[in-house]
Amino acid sequence: MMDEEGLMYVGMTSMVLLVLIITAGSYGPLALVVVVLAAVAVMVNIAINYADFIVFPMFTNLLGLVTIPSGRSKIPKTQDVIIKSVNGIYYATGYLTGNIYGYVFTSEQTQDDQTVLAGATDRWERIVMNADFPFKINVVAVPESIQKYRDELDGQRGFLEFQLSREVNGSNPNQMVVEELQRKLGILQAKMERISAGERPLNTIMYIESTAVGISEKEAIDNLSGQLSQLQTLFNSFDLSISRIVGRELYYLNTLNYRVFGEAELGKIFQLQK
Amino acid sequence: MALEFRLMLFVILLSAAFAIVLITAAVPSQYFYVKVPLAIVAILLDVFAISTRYFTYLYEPFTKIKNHTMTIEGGEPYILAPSGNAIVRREGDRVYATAFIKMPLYSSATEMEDQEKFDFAVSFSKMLALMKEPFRITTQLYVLNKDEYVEKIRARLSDVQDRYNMMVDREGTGKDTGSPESNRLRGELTMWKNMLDNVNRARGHSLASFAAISAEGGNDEEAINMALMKGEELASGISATYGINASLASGNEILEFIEPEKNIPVANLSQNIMSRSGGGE
Repeated sequence: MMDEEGLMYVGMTSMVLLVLIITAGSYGPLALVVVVLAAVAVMVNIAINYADFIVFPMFTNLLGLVTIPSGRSKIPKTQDVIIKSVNGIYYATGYLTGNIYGYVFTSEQTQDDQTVLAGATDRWERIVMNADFPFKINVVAVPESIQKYRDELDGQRGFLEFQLSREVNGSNPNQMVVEELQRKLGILQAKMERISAGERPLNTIMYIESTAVGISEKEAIDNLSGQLSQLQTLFNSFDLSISRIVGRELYYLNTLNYRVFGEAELGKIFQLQK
Repeated sequence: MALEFRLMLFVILLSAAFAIVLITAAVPSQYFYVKVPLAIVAILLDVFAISTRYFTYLYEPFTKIKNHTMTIEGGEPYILAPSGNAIVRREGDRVYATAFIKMPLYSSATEMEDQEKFDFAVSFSKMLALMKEPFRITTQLYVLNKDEYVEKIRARLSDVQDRYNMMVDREGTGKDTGSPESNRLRGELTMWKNMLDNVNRARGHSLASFAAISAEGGNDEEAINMALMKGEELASGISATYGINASLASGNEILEFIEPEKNIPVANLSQNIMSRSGGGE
């Protein structure tokens, strides 16, 4: 899904650097230095915008920065765990992300697959039985405006119909392309029918949280790594890609324990799963 | 407001960077020793501008770094409401309250037919679409505090032991010649001992589900009232969807949903640590 806001940020900042590069000729013998610095800045901007989970921990590691999200806990320079000490015992909490709702919301099937959904309950129960440590699975439901979603679907349908019409009326219509476009139109139509039937469009953020304990920070962190690896293996049965959350999102997920952000804030902080 | 501030900061920084680039471009090239540092300032402002998308919450803490430590919030992340059924959090001049809803879901997939499993999964989807505002659903597996349960077993074991000892003293029967009653008591004693061993050996877990919803208010009372209203609405919706009695959590129940140390009770810590280091079970 295109991130229009991200494109705006990168586009505008890159324009300024582009002007700098274009006018670099006026910097005399140091023109090349200015061009190189500007080019590096473009790459850094792209990295900050699209890969802040790499850039931010790199930055804190370099400076050896520890973050205190609240008076009771801390995030070490690796930015991948939250540590809390209570009566000399250390509790390390880490997060994993995963989108389980590929089965329902982003499915390309026009009907809910009964076998898949029935199987999800069994798989969940097997995970619970096999995990012998504390963990939480969290789903943040972010309802979307029905009218806005319907307008989006109308826009997509109009574009697909235009493409289909162009392909069909073309001099040499490609049957595979026509079938693909018709399939996509079918999916859109099914989505619109579900909205008309009363279903509400929803964005979600899903993440898994686990806490490990230790008599030292290092022990707690090591135990947590083991637990998170085990969770990744257990959740493989849901056939989804799970990755460890690092960086600024760690702070916000911790804050989610205390308050649920509003829709606009959630959209700015996280990539919502449609 | 925070989002508007972020955008405003981005525009200001980008405009400043652009202005410096234009000004330095207009300066004659023989003054490159002035132009180049200005160009570097423009580049830094440009990079700073894009960082406003995600990192404005770190700007002020960054300026107050001490001993490589950046403090975002020094105080408590929340306080429990006086009524005990919500938590209150202050962020700057804004007040947020969050209500938690207990969801007593006791169904197991092993007890369900395929159709029931499908219906359960579909109900979960419907539950997510209950409210117009964002809310969170959590299912947590946590370590149970076995102390109370173990104490009950110990008390029962002790009682049976006493009765068995009294019977042995009264009847004068030895191990091999017990009356039916003493045999029964001996069997019961063995049963309770085995149960105590099993319970002590195994780690007890429990699964709990809850929902959380927040509201913003001008002051604590307003935020709490709004959060409780939304919480009641969500609880009703969940109750109707699943046919359960969802209700607002309070006091310690809320802490169990929030604090990581509540997921692993102190009584079980040594067992947990020992088993991790290979010394337990």
